Amino acid sequence: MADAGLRNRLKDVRAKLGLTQAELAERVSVSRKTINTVENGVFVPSTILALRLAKALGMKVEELFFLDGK
Amino acid sequence: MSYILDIMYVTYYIMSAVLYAMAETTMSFRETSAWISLTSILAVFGFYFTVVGRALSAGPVSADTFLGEYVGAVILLVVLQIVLQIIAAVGTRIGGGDVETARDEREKLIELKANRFGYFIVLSGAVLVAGAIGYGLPGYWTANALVAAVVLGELVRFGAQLVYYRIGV
Repeated sequence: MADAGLRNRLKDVRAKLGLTQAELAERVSVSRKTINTVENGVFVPSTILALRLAKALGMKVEELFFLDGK
Repeated sequence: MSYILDIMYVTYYIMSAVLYAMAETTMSFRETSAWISLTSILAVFGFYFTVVGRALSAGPVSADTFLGEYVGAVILLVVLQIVLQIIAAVGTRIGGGDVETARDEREKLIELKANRFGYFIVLSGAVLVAGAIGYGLPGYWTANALVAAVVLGELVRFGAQLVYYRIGV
């Protein structure tokens, strides 16, 4: 629903690290569904959640999230 | 007594549909909880307004005619909510789901957006009723119109939550 032009590599990075959505959700204290909707671009996370996700996956936030067309 | 049995009967069938949908889809605890709230309000107050509508269509009534039914409906709704929410929580836990994590930012945003719809309905109802009082609306109509506005507001609020849970926010 929400298309703010924000894209992410969350699904690829998570899969590469062998994490399930539920495991990642637990690491950043959100629901599994929230991880699912972020991965699918349905929900645009807040800055703090984006930073927490990047930290949990050992990346910089700009490596994980990027604007459409970049 | 038949009043309570009828509501239990309707709620049982609605909850069967909700629990079936819960088992067939990946419905979260919060989404299930919203379904429970929506269906129990619909069942209890749907029946309440059926009773009120029949009585009002039969002719004028005294100011406190529906007080017993109203108090009964509120108590029944509270009991139904407690029992069904406990069942849903236990069911979710058995199924490996999470019921303890605090609402995250997406769930808070869904609630806020849904509250906006519900608030609009309640406010509109209050303004309409306030205007109607000026035209000599009887007390029992005023009270029930306000209850209807609150019930409708709650139905819209939980309905909006369910839509946002499905299509995203």
